[in-house]
Amino acid sequence: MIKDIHQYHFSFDELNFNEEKLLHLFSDFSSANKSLLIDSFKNHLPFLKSNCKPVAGFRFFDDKSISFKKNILLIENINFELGPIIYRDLKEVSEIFVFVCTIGKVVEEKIHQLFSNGDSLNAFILDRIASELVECTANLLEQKIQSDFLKTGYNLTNRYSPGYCGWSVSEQQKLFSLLPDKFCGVQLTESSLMIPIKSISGIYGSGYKIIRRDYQCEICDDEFCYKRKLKKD
Amino acid sequence: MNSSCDETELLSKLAFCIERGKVNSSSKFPADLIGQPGVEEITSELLQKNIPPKTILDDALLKGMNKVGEKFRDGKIFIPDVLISAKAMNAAMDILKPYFVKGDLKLKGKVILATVKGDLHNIGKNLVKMVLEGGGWEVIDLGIDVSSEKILDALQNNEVKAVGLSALLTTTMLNMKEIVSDLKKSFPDLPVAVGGAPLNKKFANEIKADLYSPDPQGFLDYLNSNFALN
Repeated sequence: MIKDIHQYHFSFDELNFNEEKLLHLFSDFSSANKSLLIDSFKNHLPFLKSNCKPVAGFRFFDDKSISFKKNILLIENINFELGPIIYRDLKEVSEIFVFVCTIGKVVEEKIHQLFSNGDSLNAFILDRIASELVECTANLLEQKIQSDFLKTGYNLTNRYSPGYCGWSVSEQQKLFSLLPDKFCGVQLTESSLMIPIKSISGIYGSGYKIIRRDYQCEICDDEFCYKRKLKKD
Repeated sequence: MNSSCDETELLSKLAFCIERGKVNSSSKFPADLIGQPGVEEITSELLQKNIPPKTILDDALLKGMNKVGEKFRDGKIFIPDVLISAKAMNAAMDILKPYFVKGDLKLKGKVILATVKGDLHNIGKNLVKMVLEGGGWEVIDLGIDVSSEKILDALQNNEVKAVGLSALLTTTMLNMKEIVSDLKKSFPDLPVAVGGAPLNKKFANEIKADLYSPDPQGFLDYLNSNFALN
């Protein structure tokens, strides 16, 4: 029997962010400037090891708690207007994991401090690394769900977040209403902004023999979405 | 004759160092220029040779940044390299600072930047700031979560060429509409540029913004072509 709510604290080392991933993340850096990038990362590394605090968690909803209408997911009678892109991927699932993850607020305070001190380039590099570390945290959570919680023969869908793939970011409020207050240390502003900013929330679906599809960027009109960029890379 | 040649060569070298983001001789990047003098040494040398600061600014620094802009527009470089050049530019501007203070040198004009109310993201705005400053503009940075009132207040107290608004969320970008409308009521001719991940040209047109740019360079190009005195 799966308990409803789970939360995990990871270490920076578990995120397995290394130089190889750094170079991939900054593939838009010209090769002549890679040494700057690597030096900046090496300088940030001790700080990140002590201050990056990855936390991730989820609440599980079984088939009794969820249902679908066209383009809409209902969880405990709350309507989520997913839109056609996400609906197409989720409509066959029988379980939903509502998740949140963050790397905490200290790294973003450091980014702010670097900008304030005029070190915008290092701030920019640390900001992009921090965003990637949240993605790594979400990946770790996904592995945890896959290894510890999925029933035999069940697969996970892609993860989907309000603000992407045609799902309005304002739906974040409804998503957080399903979670305990300040779950994983993350809270929402009125404008649906997560604090700490370096956080991700969203849902996974799971179902028996569900096939995990690629993100449907070709039918989405969000030209500058980071998922589209990742796909291109 | 030789001295003039020297000066021309030094100005070209300085423009090249800006273009490549070479700050000083101890910089470890770009890899192919290790050990060579950078903008700090060359700017100082030009000043020692009594080259007017305006010549240094116009014929080397801004020339280098224009080249960076061209390469960016042509897709030959991306934002990180623009920032590296902007950093080198800032290093040169620090050396020229006394001339700005004395009034011998003038920046191109003032621009207000703000992340709109409800939104706490500042990275995009800060990148724009860095690129505009590198392009010779003075930026009045009003920060994050900024209301119309705060921008109007800054406009009353400064001669400003344009306002740039940033938002990262589909919820907060809606606040841009009210802000653009408020600004246009008091300053109908003031150009307002908007940018941020969820925006597009269609939205910018709907809210009657004058410019949508997906990157800082687009805003800099707009300012340079419409207002720059240099």
